Amino acid sequence: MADTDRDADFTAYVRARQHALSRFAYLLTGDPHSAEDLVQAALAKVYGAWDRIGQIEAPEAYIRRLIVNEHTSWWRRAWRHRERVDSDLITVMDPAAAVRAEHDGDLWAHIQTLTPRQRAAVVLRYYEDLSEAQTAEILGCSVGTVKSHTSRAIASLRLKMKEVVA
Amino acid sequence: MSDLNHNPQTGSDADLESAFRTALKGRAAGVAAPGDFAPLAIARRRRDQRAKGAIGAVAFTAVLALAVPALASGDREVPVLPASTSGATGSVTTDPTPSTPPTTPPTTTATTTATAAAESTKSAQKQASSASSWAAGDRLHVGDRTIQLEPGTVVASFAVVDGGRIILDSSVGVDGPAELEVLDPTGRTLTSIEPWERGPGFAWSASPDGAKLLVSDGASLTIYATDGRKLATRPDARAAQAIVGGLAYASAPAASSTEPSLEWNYLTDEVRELPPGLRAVTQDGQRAAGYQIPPTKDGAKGCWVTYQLASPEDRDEHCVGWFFPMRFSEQGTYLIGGSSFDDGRGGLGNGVKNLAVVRVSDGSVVVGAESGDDQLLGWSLQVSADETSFLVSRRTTPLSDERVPNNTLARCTFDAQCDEVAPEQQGPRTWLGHYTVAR
Repeated sequence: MADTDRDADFTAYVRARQHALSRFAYLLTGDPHSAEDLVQAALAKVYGAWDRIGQIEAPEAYIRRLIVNEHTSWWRRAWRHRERVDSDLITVMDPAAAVRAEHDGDLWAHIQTLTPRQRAAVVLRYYEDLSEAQTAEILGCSVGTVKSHTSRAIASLRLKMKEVVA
Repeated sequence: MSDLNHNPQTGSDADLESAFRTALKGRAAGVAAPGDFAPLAIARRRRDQRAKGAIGAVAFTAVLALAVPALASGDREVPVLPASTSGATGSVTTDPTPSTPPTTPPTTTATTTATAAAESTKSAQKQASSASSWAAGDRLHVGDRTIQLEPGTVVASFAVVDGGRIILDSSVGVDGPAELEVLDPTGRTLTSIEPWERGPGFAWSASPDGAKLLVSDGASLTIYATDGRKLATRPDARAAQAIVGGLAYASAPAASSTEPSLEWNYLTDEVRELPPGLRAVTQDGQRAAGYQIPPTKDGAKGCWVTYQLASPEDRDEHCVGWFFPMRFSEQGTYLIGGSSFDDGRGGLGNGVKNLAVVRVSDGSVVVGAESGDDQLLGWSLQVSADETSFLVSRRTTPLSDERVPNNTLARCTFDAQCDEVAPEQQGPRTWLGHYTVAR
């Protein structure tokens, strides 16, 4: 594929999917700057392999796996270095302006305390509405591990709620 | 989740799953991506590819290069910095030191000396960047760029080397695991050096051109290219001190050790013993400095020494017991050091130090003092590439004050004119500063 065709093909794909990918990355990271860096990092890798990925009928799962792995690798390194992102490719509505109950804010705060793999499992299962098998495929683990991640997330939420009430 | 709160202890899994769905979808609904990711992703990919290529090229050039060392041995008369520079004034400024453009690639030869000479010339760019760089909490200020690190990062030491790459020793939080990494100019991690801890024997030193990194872990010395490739390793408990050209230098971590220092030609694996206590080598690879406690004297009183590496027996000795050398200034005119023996972790160690700069030619102290009004307390100091000023992370509260110290960043000339570069801040803990000046 010629470079210009390749770039055009890649650009068209990204423009069609960047909203969805940005939302996914935001739910994983919890802040727009990290999400933007995460999406950019993943898309840069996708671009490098676009000749191959572009031929896949549905590259979405592959790209989500890239995003999840990139995010997990940040944390596995104990901490991460981010490019300073000053642009506003991703914007998040002021939570105060959003129609959102206060307890959802509490739950959102709880989600951000989950481990990266638990959070990825929760986001894939309950935001993307993927099956356990699909989630396992993206996470690169077994269905049993997905069940374990989500059940632990639910258990920790239940515990948190008990603490709040107590 | 509100319905769950009515009966939190018996909320079913289905209820909690539903709560997750509601919260996640609600959050996601507020996220928009109005920009255009595609061109940025393409540019990022191409930049990453260029960076990888450039790193390989730099490493290769460093081995084969030749250039004439641009040594301008200044012997300027400079007065001692007065009692305190706390009168420093001026608004917060960004770095006034302009970047130096890359030098022309030199022609080739393959001798170690020639490589050192090339590194000396190329290091002008490195030092210009390092001399104008500092960490403020979890942000690195490198020239006119700001790099945000992981929130809560505590920078122990760092250096900006040729090509803008960054060697960073840091941790998240004061007690977090330490990590030694090479970052690209944007702050993205190129490679991580493992194992890495904070403790005796753990030390690092980058070559003047930034192409190589000498690392010690208390059991071995290892030389890395800054793209992460391991070039050579040697079982040795001595601590990394310097690497210039193909020669690596190491010495025992303890100040009182009488174990000889080591010069290791990693290309031929030849070694040579040098006087104990070596701590610095000039960027042209000609001269070394160290600290020695004469065995016949009181262990509390030592001397700092400099000598030509070609003839270590001919040394200049200055018996000012409180000054421990750490590194030479860019042109080798000055030695930067302090009251406490450097532990190899960078800056002058994590704790506050009695900082000093001495003139190599006559041993005079041009900045700092053992005590009294001329004493300069701080964490790290770097002399500018042109050797006319220095950047210092100073402690502005007395040592007797056991609360979390206040810390300013100032650029001072040797005649004691200081401008505040960044405002006074408190360190993250009682012995730590907020600012760290690059090596």
